[in-house]
Amino acid sequence: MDTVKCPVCGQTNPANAEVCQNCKSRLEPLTGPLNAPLQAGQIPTKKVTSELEPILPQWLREAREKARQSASEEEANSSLIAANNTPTVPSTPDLLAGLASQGNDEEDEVPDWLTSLTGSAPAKKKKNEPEAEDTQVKWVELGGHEDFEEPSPGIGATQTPSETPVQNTTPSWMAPQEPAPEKDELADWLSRAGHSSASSSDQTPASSQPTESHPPAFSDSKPEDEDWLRNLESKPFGSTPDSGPQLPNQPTAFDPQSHPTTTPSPASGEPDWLNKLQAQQPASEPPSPLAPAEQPSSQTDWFGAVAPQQSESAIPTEIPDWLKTFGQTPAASEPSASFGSSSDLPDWLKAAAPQTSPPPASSSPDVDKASVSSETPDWLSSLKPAEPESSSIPPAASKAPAFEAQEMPQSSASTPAFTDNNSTAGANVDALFASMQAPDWLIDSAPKDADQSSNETNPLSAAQKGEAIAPAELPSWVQAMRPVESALPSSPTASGDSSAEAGGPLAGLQNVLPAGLGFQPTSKPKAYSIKLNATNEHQTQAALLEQILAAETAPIPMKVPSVVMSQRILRWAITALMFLLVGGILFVGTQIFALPARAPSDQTEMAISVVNKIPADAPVLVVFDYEPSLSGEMQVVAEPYLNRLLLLKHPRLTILSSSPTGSALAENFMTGSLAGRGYQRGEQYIDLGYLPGGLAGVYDFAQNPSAVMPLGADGSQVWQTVPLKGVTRFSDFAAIILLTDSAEAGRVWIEQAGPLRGNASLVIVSSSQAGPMLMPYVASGQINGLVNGLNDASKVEQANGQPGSARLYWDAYSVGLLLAAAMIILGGLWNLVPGLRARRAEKEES
Amino acid sequence: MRYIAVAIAIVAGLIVLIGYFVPALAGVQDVLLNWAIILAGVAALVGVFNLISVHGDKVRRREKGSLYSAILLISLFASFIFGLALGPDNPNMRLLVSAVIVPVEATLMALLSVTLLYASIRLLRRRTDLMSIVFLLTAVLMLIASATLPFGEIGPLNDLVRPWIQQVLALGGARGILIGVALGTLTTGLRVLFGADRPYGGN
Repeated sequence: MDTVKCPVCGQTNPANAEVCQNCKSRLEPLTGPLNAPLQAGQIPTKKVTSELEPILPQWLREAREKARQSASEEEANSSLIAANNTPTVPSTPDLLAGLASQGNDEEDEVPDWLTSLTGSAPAKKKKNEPEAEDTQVKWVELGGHEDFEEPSPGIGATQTPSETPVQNTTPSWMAPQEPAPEKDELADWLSRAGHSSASSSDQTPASSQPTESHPPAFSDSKPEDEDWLRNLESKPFGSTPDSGPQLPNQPTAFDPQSHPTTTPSPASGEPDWLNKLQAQQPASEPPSPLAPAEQPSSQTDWFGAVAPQQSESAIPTEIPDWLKTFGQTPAASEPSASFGSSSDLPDWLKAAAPQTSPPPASSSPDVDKASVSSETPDWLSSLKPAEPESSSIPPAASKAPAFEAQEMPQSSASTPAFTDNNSTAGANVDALFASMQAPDWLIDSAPKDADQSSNETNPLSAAQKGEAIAPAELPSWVQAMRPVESALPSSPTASGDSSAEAGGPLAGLQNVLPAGLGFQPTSKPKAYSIKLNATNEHQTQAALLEQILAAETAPIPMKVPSVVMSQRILRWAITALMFLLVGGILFVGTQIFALPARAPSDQTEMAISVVNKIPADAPVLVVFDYEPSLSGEMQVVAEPYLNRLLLLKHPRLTILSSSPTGSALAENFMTGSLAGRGYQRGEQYIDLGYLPGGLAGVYDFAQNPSAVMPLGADGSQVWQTVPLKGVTRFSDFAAIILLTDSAEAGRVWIEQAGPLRGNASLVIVSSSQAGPMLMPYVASGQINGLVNGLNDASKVEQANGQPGSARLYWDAYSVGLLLAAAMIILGGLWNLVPGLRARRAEKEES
Repeated sequence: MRYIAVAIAIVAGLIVLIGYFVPALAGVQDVLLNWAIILAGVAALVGVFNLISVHGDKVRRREKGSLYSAILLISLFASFIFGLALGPDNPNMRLLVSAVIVPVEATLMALLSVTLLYASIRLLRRRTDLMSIVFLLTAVLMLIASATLPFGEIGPLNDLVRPWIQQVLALGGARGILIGVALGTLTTGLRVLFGADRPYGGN
């Protein structure tokens, strides 16, 4: 039964199985089979790299041109110098090839890091190059023709990310892994290193480095160029790498015929660390870079693991298994780590360039190429025609960021270190890659790489723009303050604004002012249904809200101000009626209306009886306590009562006023209404004037009248006069008659002077308005009589039997009362109807 | 100072109050009451001075209505000067009262009568309720009952309705008001005596 071995886990599966029963990996790749590798004795087709000249960057083309020119000049001395010199950086990938040649002509422009990296003077490299040219080794050309169509790591390092063949489904992480177009120079350089190396053992770590980074270079190198490598791989470890055939692609690079087996002798220049390494290296371990080929499964793992991590930096964990195996030797592992991590040049790299002799022959003849080819996974085999150098992807991808960190601090992490801004080879490269057939996993990863490469392109293009904006306008210190793009947050999604700043210190830079974090959507917005779920209650409330809003916006009708006109007319009408009727009757002086009838138990009869009880010529205290406004009523009310008193008893009157105007009113009353009684001031009556103090004054006057009011209103001593004869106390008055228009004043006199009046009678003659409030004191007997208003005054007149002022005013008074009652009734009824309507409307509104 | 004022007020009040019941304190009570009368007279004089100051400022600043303030001040000083010079029993002084003060204030009362009548007519339009109707009916009844007709009184109104309203309704309401006033006065007096109320200041 035929079985198929899983290229991933090595588990045996049925021949008809498509996926592995153990790891579920696909047993047969979807891509086409790789081209048949070169077999032993087969000579690779010579490739003309000049066809790729147009796609190279300008600086690379210039460097190549200079290298060619200098090659012819130094051809004569190249052989002699090449014997004593070694490549500056034997393990340096082809991306440094251009620099090496360029550095010959432009020593001043070689950066320090590069100088320290190479470890040797540029002059040495000049000496090496003629040898390389002499040998005309183009080992990198041994690969397929497609190799030269792909941008080399050198291109990837010098080109902008946009120049990577992203459009041809080649991810950006593969750009550095592509063979460099200037592989001729690199091959020369490597060949010089091989010839000039005195000890091949010294090149073991160095040779392993290019193997890790650019296996295609090894695979395409010619035998004469690979001697030092073969020596490096075979002799120091003293073992034949029989297990190497599992390497998928490298066997194709090592042609047994083109790489004769050479036994590298331990040269005197071999470093100690390598000797130690050789001593520690077990004999069974693969001594050469081809050792990884012995572990095809690990290589496939590495290959599959590298694909999604194409652009990550060179970290040891990403080194493929076969590289790890190879790197078990300290000499092999240290250079790879140091090369891609920092500027610290590894010892092997420093020492390799000038001291190493041409490496011994590679151990590739020991490798069973047939077995290697047979055990190569199909998917890798299918990948080979398109990209034979795919085995070199992981090291190159891991090294590219390391170079960027050192050489291009202003670029992003994935930006190649060496870029040619003026290069237009990107389009040609794209055209070249268009014909390539890439595996599915590369096609799947292409969009992601395209995004990355596009993001990586922006800073460089911005830098180009910035250079075109005449930076000379800015002072040096301002330029020094300009933000470095590498220091800017590399969050391509933080700001969608890719436009460059037009002016100011930030001119030419883009994404310098990223948008705030708060403007970025943190998550996918929650989807809400646009369908309105409104219940009946909601609809009812909405309708109510609409009604409220409509009521708010509805205009409120203005009230008609005609009511003011009717009020004014009404007032004038009332005034006119009152003037006409009351005034007319007063003017005419009619006495038509009957006087009110007297009642025996009336308070007026009590007051009349008091007068009757007062002895003749008795001192009587008359208190004037009313305001001038009511003097008209009070004089009419008090006149009949005092007339009766004066007429019947002829008392001696003592006038006292508890209001400021009372004294004047009293004098006016005595000289007006009572003028007919012949009372003279100082003789029949005396005016004590104004008694201040309110309650206290009344009480104090009742306590001691002479002490409180010792003088009269005119300032004379009054207590010795006739009217006050025999009066020393308040109770000495025969009667106390209070003329007041206020119930409060009556209450004060009743409460404060009442207990001190003794047997003196207290009669109050009041206005009509004060009558109801004084009635309780009449009922309680605190006052002995009350004459209240014109009605009672008319009764007194009736009692006197002599008509007076009360009778004169009675008709007008009665007409006025009836008119007022009539107007209130009619007006009330007139206003009652609209009032009820308004009230009903108000209730309806509420 | 505050405690002194409170102590003086409380002691004076207690002496006057006790003086009503203890004849021995009547002399002290009289002295305190005489002081109160003098202070009340001075307060009236202070009020006159305040009136002169306020209206004098208005005239000095020529504010709106300063003309009336000037007339007031002129009348005040004229009455004062003529009163001191002529005395209150002078015919000119009596004429000043009878010809100016009494007619002016009587006119205001006459306007009040028209205003009250107008308000009574408009009451039902403004406030149409039972109490308004009762109020107006009571007023109408008292007006009619207080008046007489040419041929005599309006029988039941003058003989029954008016006395009943006066002796029952008005007397009952007045007594209630007076009782309330008395209780209020008592409470106020006690609060002043206890120092709870300090109308004289010293809060």
